[in-house]
Amino acid sequence: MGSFILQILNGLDKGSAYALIALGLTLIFGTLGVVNFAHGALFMIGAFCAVTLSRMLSLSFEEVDPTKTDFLGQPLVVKTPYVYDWFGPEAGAAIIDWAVPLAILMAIPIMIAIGFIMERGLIKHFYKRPHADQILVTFGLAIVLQEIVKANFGANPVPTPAPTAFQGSFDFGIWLGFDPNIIIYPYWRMVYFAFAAVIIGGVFAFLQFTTFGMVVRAGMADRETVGLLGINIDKRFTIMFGLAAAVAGLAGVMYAPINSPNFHMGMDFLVLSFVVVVVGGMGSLPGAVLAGFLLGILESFASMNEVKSIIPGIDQIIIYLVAIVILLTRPRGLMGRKGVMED
Amino acid sequence: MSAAALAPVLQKLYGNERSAYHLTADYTWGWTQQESIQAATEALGWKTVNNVLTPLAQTDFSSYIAPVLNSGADVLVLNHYGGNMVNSLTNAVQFGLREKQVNGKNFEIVVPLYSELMAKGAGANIKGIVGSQNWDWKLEDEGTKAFVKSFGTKYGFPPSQAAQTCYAQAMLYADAVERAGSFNPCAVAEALEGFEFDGLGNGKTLYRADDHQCFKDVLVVRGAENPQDEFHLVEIVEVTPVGQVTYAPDHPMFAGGELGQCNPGA
Repeated sequence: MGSFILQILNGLDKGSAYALIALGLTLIFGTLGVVNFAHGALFMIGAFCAVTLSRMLSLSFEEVDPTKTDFLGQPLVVKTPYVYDWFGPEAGAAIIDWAVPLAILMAIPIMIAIGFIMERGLIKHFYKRPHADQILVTFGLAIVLQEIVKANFGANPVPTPAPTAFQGSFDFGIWLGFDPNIIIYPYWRMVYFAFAAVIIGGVFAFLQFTTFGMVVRAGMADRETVGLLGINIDKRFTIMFGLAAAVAGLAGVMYAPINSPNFHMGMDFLVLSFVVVVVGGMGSLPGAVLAGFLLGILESFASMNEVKSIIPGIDQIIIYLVAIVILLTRPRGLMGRKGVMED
Repeated sequence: MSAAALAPVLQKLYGNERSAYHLTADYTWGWTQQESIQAATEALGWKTVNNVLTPLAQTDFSSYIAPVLNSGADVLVLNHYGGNMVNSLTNAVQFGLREKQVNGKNFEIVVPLYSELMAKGAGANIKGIVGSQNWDWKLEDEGTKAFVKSFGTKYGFPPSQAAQTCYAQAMLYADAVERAGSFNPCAVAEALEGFEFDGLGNGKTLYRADDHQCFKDVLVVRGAENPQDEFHLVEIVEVTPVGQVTYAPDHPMFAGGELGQCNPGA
């Protein structure tokens, strides 16, 4: 029972990342009709926003300590972060410790700006081109973006820990009447799930309860008619591209403490996220979220030893197996609409 | 070799009565690594609770770590390398395994083979983790000192194990081509067969002719609890002499049949 509950928690946590990325992908596809293979790179750039802020806050002045030597036998250069000097060692250390949550504030404008530049500078030229062209150009863009990050941050993962207050794990088991240490779950993963729920809820509320959102939804349903009403739908769709980039970026920022960011992390999520979008139904926002959590949970259960002992290797193919079954039985995905990506 | 070098240290640190749970990367290196560390630890008296294969492309190991909590194991062996190891170790520490007590003992994590670069990627999670390395810049031999000085002066940081391996391999290849008088891969292979050398920082190193395996001293290392700087993430616990890790060419665990005919590729 304990293992079962743990895998549900794991599935919800994995599903959070899938759902956030798939939500952004679907926003872009649903509004602009573009299949954006650079979306994983936006997730990766978000994670590196956390790395960048952490490094900025750790910027240091240098002093030579003649009593100690470095690895070459030279007098040791001691680095002290400026924030220690400005706010005192304790407050300075606390500021650096909270770099990841603080990076949210930095990532939002940066990701929106990157989204704008991507859409206006490149992707708008491919609106009327076939999906294959869109895939090729956005995939190429993803490679360029990840190589830029590699050139600046190196190829190795960069550890970016959660604030000390959120390190360690919480004993859920005691809460549920189990013995201690049976169901423990990392604090930061719980934070990630809660954060994803807030972001997903926020995006849906924005689309559902604001005039802007209503126009965007109308445009997603019938772009031409909305245009005929004198509404500049293209401008709104560009803003939605920026919003989708921000969602992917924020998902990346908060993911940084879960696995050390590296330049390739976007590609690791990209294919899975596309499967999530297809299973959920192309262009369906609730479908993307539902499929994200569903596939996250199924992937976790497939990793259980009890399951693997019956079907060895099932953990490696479960997501694709489910995708095949769903597409055979419901070709438009779980919540896909008629006419989307259908000639 | 890593397993043979690690076993005595694991016995010294964690005793003879342990239950190990293995997570193993699902490819040839992972399988052989796991097989040898399992054999070495079982010879100490450890029990193997489970060995779970993980996909090579896996990035989030949480669903593989969770079952460890209720398995009864008090040691987790991560037969992972590179990005796999960085992520699996990070996830294991996130799940509080290092603070856990099982069977009246502190839960321990062992990574049979890792490098300073991987330690850097894992950050503070590497603290106290026992493993092995091929080479470390803190070795005191003259070859290492010369390489560290030259590399450190140029780049401003000490060379990683990977940097030393690349340099040593390039030197070895150049030397083998010179001795063979040819770039033909078969001639180069022949020049390296049974070749023993010293001075590149690894102590006496042999490329055994029978099976083309490389034999040299193995470093047993541990993640530093309080590293003095970013370059001292790993401390050397012991240098295990090559004699202690050498096995017979027909050892049942490693015997892979005949080497076959050399194919120069042209």
